[in-house]
Amino acid sequence: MKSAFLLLLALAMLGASLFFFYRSSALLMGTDYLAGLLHIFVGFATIRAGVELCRFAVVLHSRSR
Amino acid sequence: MHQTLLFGVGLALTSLLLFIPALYMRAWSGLALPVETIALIGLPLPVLAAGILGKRHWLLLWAFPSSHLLALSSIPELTHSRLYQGAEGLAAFAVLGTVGVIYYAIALRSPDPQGSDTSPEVFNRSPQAAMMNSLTFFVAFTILGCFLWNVFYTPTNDRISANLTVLAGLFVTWFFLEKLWIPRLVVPVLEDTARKGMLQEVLFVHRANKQQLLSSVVVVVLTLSMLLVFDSIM
Repeated sequence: MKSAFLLLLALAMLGASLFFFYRSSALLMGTDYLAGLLHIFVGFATIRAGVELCRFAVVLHSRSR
Repeated sequence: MHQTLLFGVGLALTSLLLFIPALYMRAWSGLALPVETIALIGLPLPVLAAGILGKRHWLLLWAFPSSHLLALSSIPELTHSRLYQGAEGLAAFAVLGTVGVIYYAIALRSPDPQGSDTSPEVFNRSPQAAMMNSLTFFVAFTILGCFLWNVFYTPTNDRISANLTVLAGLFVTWFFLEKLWIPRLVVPVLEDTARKGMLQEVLFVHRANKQQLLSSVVVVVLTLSMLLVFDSIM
Protein backbone atom coordinates (compact mmCIF):
# COMPACT_ATOMS: atom_id res chain seq x y z
CA MET A 1 0.00 0.00 0.00
CA LYS A 2 2.76 2.40 1.01
CA SER A 3 4.81 1.48 -2.03
CA ALA A 4 1.84 2.10 -4.35
CA PHE A 5 1.30 5.48 -2.72
CA LEU A 6 4.98 6.36 -3.15
CA LEU A 7 4.82 5.25 -6.78
CA LEU A 8 1.88 7.62 -7.25
CA LEU A 9 3.91 10.46 -5.72
CA ALA A 10 6.83 9.57 -7.98
CA LEU A 11 4.58 9.69 -11.04
CA ALA A 12 3.34 13.11 -9.93
CA MET A 13 6.93 14.35 -9.72
CA LEU A 14 7.79 12.87 -13.13
CA GLY A 15 4.72 14.59 -14.59
CA ALA A 16 5.74 17.89 -12.99
CA SER A 17 9.22 17.59 -14.50
CA LEU A 18 7.67 17.02 -17.94
CA PHE A 19 5.79 20.30 -17.49
CA PHE A 20 9.08 22.12 -16.77
CA PHE A 21 10.75 20.51 -19.79
CA TYR A 22 7.82 21.51 -21.99
CA ARG A 23 8.00 25.10 -20.70
CA SER A 24 11.77 25.18 -21.22
CA SER A 25 11.40 24.14 -24.87
CA ALA A 26 8.78 26.88 -25.38
CA LEU A 27 11.16 29.43 -23.85
CA LEU A 28 14.11 28.19 -25.93
CA MET A 29 12.00 28.44 -29.09
CA GLY A 30 11.10 31.99 -28.03
CA THR A 31 14.86 32.81 -27.84
CA ASP A 32 14.62 33.24 -24.05
CA TYR A 33 17.65 31.01 -23.53
CA LEU A 34 18.45 31.80 -19.88
CA ALA A 35 14.89 31.13 -18.72
CA GLY A 36 14.86 27.93 -20.76
CA LEU A 37 18.09 26.76 -19.14
CA LEU A 38 16.78 27.55 -15.64
CA HIS A 39 13.61 25.57 -16.38
CA ILE A 40 15.76 22.62 -17.43
CA PHE A 41 17.55 22.74 -14.05
CA VAL A 42 14.23 22.83 -12.18
CA GLY A 43 12.99 19.94 -14.35
CA PHE A 44 16.12 17.93 -13.49
CA ALA A 45 15.66 18.55 -9.76
CA THR A 46 12.03 17.45 -9.98
CA ILE A 47 12.74 14.34 -12.02
CA ARG A 48 15.55 13.41 -9.63
CA ALA A 49 13.07 13.57 -6.76
CA GLY A 50 10.71 11.35 -8.78
CA VAL A 51 13.43 8.74 -9.36
CA GLU A 52 14.35 8.74 -5.65
CA LEU A 53 10.70 8.21 -4.71
CA CYS A 54 10.59 5.30 -7.20
CA ARG A 55 13.62 3.77 -5.44
CA PHE A 56 11.93 4.20 -2.07
CA ALA A 57 8.80 2.48 -3.45
CA VAL A 58 10.87 -0.42 -4.84
CA VAL A 59 12.61 -0.87 -1.48
CA LEU A 60 9.32 -0.89 0.45
CA HIS A 61 7.85 -3.35 -2.07
CA SER A 62 10.88 -5.65 -1.72
CA ARG A 63 10.65 -5.59 2.08
CA SER A 64 6.93 -6.29 2.15
CA ARG A 65 7.36 -9.50 0.10
CA MET B 1 25.57 -10.29 -42.79
CA HIS B 2 24.05 -8.57 -39.75
CA GLN B 3 26.04 -5.39 -40.40
CA THR B 4 24.98 -5.25 -44.06
CA LEU B 5 21.35 -5.77 -43.09
CA LEU B 6 21.57 -3.06 -40.43
CA PHE B 7 23.17 -0.61 -42.85
CA GLY B 8 20.54 -1.40 -45.51
CA VAL B 9 17.62 -0.84 -43.14
CA GLY B 10 19.26 2.30 -41.70
CA LEU B 11 19.76 3.65 -45.21
CA ALA B 12 16.11 2.88 -46.04
CA LEU B 13 15.02 4.72 -42.88
CA THR B 14 17.08 7.81 -43.73
CA SER B 15 15.83 7.71 -47.34
CA LEU B 16 12.19 7.56 -46.24
CA LEU B 17 12.63 10.24 -43.60
CA LEU B 18 14.97 12.69 -45.36
CA PHE B 19 16.16 11.86 -48.90
CA ILE B 20 12.81 11.13 -50.58
CA PRO B 21 10.94 14.02 -48.85
CA ALA B 22 13.78 16.41 -49.87
CA LEU B 23 13.63 15.29 -53.51
CA TYR B 24 9.83 15.40 -53.51
CA MET B 25 9.72 18.90 -52.02
CA ARG B 26 12.37 20.04 -54.47
CA ALA B 27 10.17 18.93 -57.36
CA TRP B 28 6.94 20.23 -55.80
CA SER B 29 7.95 23.55 -54.24
CA GLY B 30 11.46 24.15 -55.57
CA LEU B 31 13.22 23.49 -52.25
CA ALA B 32 16.79 24.77 -52.56
CA LEU B 33 19.46 22.23 -51.67
CA PRO B 34 22.67 24.12 -50.87
CA VAL B 35 25.71 22.34 -49.46
CA GLU B 36 24.79 22.87 -45.78
CA THR B 37 21.31 21.44 -46.35
CA ILE B 38 22.74 18.38 -48.09
CA ALA B 39 25.26 17.98 -45.25
CA LEU B 40 22.44 18.02 -42.67
CA ILE B 41 20.40 15.53 -44.69
CA GLY B 42 23.44 13.27 -45.13
CA LEU B 43 24.57 13.49 -41.48
CA PRO B 44 22.85 10.25 -40.33
CA LEU B 45 24.89 8.10 -42.75
CA PRO B 46 28.37 8.64 -41.22
CA VAL B 47 26.81 8.22 -37.76
CA LEU B 48 25.30 4.89 -38.87
CA ALA B 49 28.59 3.78 -40.43
CA ALA B 50 30.50 4.71 -37.25
CA GLY B 51 28.00 2.78 -35.14
CA ILE B 52 28.21 -0.33 -37.31
CA LEU B 53 32.00 -0.33 -37.71
CA GLY B 54 32.63 0.58 -34.05
CA LYS B 55 29.86 -1.79 -32.85
CA ARG B 56 28.61 0.81 -30.42
CA HIS B 57 25.08 0.48 -29.16
CA TRP B 58 24.68 4.11 -28.18
CA LEU B 59 25.50 5.25 -31.73
CA LEU B 60 23.10 2.75 -33.31
CA LEU B 61 20.20 3.15 -30.89
CA TRP B 62 20.55 6.80 -29.95
CA ALA B 63 22.84 8.97 -32.07
CA PHE B 64 21.73 7.63 -35.48
CA PRO B 65 17.95 8.10 -34.95
CA SER B 66 18.57 11.45 -33.22
CA SER B 67 20.81 12.74 -36.03
CA HIS B 68 17.71 12.93 -38.26
CA LEU B 69 16.22 15.55 -35.95
CA LEU B 70 18.75 18.24 -36.88
CA ALA B 71 17.69 18.11 -40.54
CA LEU B 72 13.99 17.81 -39.65
CA SER B 73 14.08 20.86 -37.37
CA SER B 74 16.27 22.94 -39.71
CA ILE B 75 14.34 22.22 -42.92
CA PRO B 76 10.60 22.61 -42.20
CA GLU B 77 9.76 21.43 -45.73
CA LEU B 78 10.80 17.88 -44.76
CA THR B 79 7.83 17.67 -42.38
CA HIS B 80 5.40 19.56 -44.64
CA SER B 81 1.77 18.42 -44.34
CA ARG B 82 1.76 17.80 -48.13
CA LEU B 83 4.08 14.81 -47.60
CA TYR B 84 1.71 12.89 -45.35
CA GLN B 85 -1.64 13.92 -46.83
CA GLY B 86 -4.37 11.50 -47.86
CA ALA B 87 -4.21 7.71 -48.21
CA GLU B 88 -0.78 7.79 -49.87
CA GLY B 89 0.56 9.92 -47.03
CA LEU B 90 -0.86 7.51 -44.46
CA ALA B 91 0.72 4.58 -46.33
CA ALA B 92 4.06 6.44 -46.46
CA PHE B 93 3.87 7.10 -42.73
CA ALA B 94 3.01 3.45 -42.03
CA VAL B 95 6.00 2.29 -44.12
CA LEU B 96 8.23 4.76 -42.29
CA GLY B 97 7.05 3.50 -38.90
CA THR B 98 7.49 -0.13 -39.95
CA VAL B 99 11.03 0.46 -41.19
CA GLY B 100 11.80 2.28 -37.91
CA VAL B 101 10.56 -0.67 -35.86
CA ILE B 102 12.55 -3.12 -38.05
CA TYR B 103 15.68 -0.97 -37.60
CA TYR B 104 15.35 -1.02 -33.81
CA ALA B 105 14.62 -4.76 -33.81
CA ILE B 106 17.83 -5.44 -35.78
CA ALA B 107 19.95 -2.92 -33.87
CA LEU B 108 18.90 -4.39 -30.50
CA ARG B 109 20.21 -7.77 -31.66
CA SER B 110 23.66 -6.41 -32.52
CA PRO B 111 26.18 -9.07 -31.48
CA ASP B 112 29.09 -8.33 -29.13
CA PRO B 113 28.65 -4.61 -28.45
CA GLN B 114 31.88 -2.83 -27.56
CA GLY B 115 32.16 0.24 -25.41
CA SER B 116 28.91 -0.51 -23.62
CA ASP B 117 29.15 0.09 -19.89
CA THR B 118 25.84 -1.57 -19.18
CA SER B 119 25.98 -5.08 -17.84
CA PRO B 120 24.46 -7.69 -20.21
CA GLU B 121 22.38 -8.96 -17.28
CA VAL B 122 20.31 -5.81 -17.54
CA PHE B 123 19.28 -6.80 -21.04
CA ASN B 124 18.24 -10.34 -20.18
CA ARG B 125 14.95 -11.64 -21.48
CA SER B 126 12.89 -11.92 -18.31
CA PRO B 127 9.41 -10.33 -18.34
CA GLN B 128 10.58 -7.84 -15.71
CA ALA B 129 13.51 -6.78 -17.93
CA ALA B 130 11.21 -6.43 -20.93
CA MET B 131 8.85 -4.27 -18.85
CA MET B 132 11.67 -2.06 -17.59
CA ASN B 133 13.09 -1.69 -21.12
CA SER B 134 9.65 -0.69 -22.46
CA LEU B 135 9.21 1.75 -19.58
CA THR B 136 12.65 3.23 -20.30
CA PHE B 137 11.76 3.76 -23.96
CA PHE B 138 8.42 5.31 -22.97
CA VAL B 139 9.98 7.74 -20.48
CA ALA B 140 12.78 8.68 -22.89
CA PHE B 141 10.40 9.38 -25.78
CA THR B 142 8.03 11.33 -23.50
CA ILE B 143 10.83 13.64 -22.32
CA LEU B 144 12.13 14.08 -25.86
CA GLY B 145 8.55 14.64 -27.06
CA CYS B 146 8.12 17.53 -24.58
CA PHE B 147 10.98 19.31 -26.33
CA LEU B 148 10.11 18.36 -29.91
CA TRP B 149 6.44 19.33 -29.60
CA ASN B 150 7.30 23.05 -29.60
CA VAL B 151 9.91 22.60 -32.36
CA PHE B 152 7.39 21.15 -34.80
CA TYR B 153 4.22 22.96 -33.68
CA THR B 154 5.45 26.49 -32.90
CA PRO B 155 5.26 28.64 -36.02
CA THR B 156 8.73 30.19 -36.28
CA ASN B 157 11.50 30.58 -38.81
CA ASP B 158 14.23 30.75 -36.18
CA ARG B 159 16.25 27.67 -37.10
CA ILE B 160 18.99 28.32 -34.54
CA SER B 161 16.47 28.20 -31.68
CA ALA B 162 14.90 25.06 -33.18
CA ASN B 163 18.31 23.36 -33.34
CA LEU B 164 19.18 24.49 -29.80
CA THR B 165 15.88 23.11 -28.51
CA VAL B 166 16.47 19.77 -30.23
CA LEU B 167 20.00 19.57 -28.82
CA ALA B 168 18.74 20.53 -25.33
CA GLY B 169 16.09 17.80 -25.55
CA LEU B 170 18.63 15.20 -26.65
CA PHE B 171 21.04 16.21 -23.89
CA VAL B 172 18.37 16.18 -21.18
CA THR B 173 17.10 12.76 -22.28
CA TRP B 174 20.61 11.30 -22.49
CA PHE B 175 21.64 12.74 -19.12
CA PHE B 176 18.47 11.51 -17.42
CA LEU B 177 18.91 7.95 -18.75
CA GLU B 178 22.68 7.74 -18.27
CA LYS B 179 23.00 9.38 -14.85
CA LEU B 180 19.65 8.82 -13.15
CA TRP B 181 17.20 6.32 -14.61
CA ILE B 182 19.43 3.38 -15.59
CA PRO B 183 22.09 3.41 -12.82
CA ARG B 184 19.75 4.39 -9.96
CA LEU B 185 16.57 2.51 -10.86
CA VAL B 186 16.77 0.03 -13.77
CA VAL B 187 19.99 -1.73 -12.74
CA PRO B 188 18.97 -2.11 -9.04
CA VAL B 189 15.54 -3.44 -10.04
CA LEU B 190 16.99 -6.04 -12.43
CA GLU B 191 20.20 -7.10 -10.69
CA ASP B 192 20.24 -8.82 -7.30
CA THR B 193 23.60 -7.42 -6.13
CA ALA B 194 22.69 -3.87 -7.12
CA ARG B 195 19.30 -4.26 -5.40
CA LYS B 196 20.98 -5.28 -2.16
CA GLY B 197 23.16 -2.16 -2.40
CA MET B 198 20.09 0.00 -2.99
CA LEU B 199 18.28 -1.57 0.00
CA GLN B 200 21.27 -0.84 2.22
CA GLU B 201 21.59 2.70 0.91
CA VAL B 202 17.91 3.58 1.33
CA LEU B 203 17.33 1.81 4.67
CA PHE B 204 20.62 2.28 6.50
CA VAL B 205 22.42 5.24 4.93
CA HIS B 206 19.37 7.47 4.39
CA ARG B 207 17.44 5.73 7.24
CA ALA B 208 14.10 5.91 5.46
CA ASN B 209 11.25 6.07 7.98
CA LYS B 210 7.70 7.35 8.41
CA GLN B 211 8.85 10.94 8.86
CA GLN B 212 10.61 10.83 5.51
CA LEU B 213 7.47 9.41 3.94
CA LEU B 214 5.50 12.36 5.31
CA SER B 215 8.12 14.85 4.17
CA SER B 216 8.00 13.26 0.70
CA VAL B 217 4.25 13.88 0.58
CA VAL B 218 4.77 17.49 1.65
CA VAL B 219 7.47 18.01 -1.02
CA VAL B 220 5.26 16.58 -3.78
CA VAL B 221 2.21 18.60 -2.71
CA LEU B 222 4.31 21.80 -2.52
CA THR B 223 5.85 21.14 -5.94
CA LEU B 224 2.49 20.53 -7.56
CA SER B 225 0.93 23.60 -5.91
CA MET B 226 3.88 25.71 -7.05
CA LEU B 227 3.40 24.33 -10.53
CA LEU B 228 -0.30 25.28 -10.54
CA VAL B 229 0.49 28.82 -9.32
CA PHE B 230 3.33 29.11 -11.81
CA ASP B 231 1.10 27.94 -14.68
CA SER B 232 -1.60 30.46 -13.81
CA ILE B 233 0.97 33.31 -13.66
CA MET B 234 2.67 32.50 -16.98
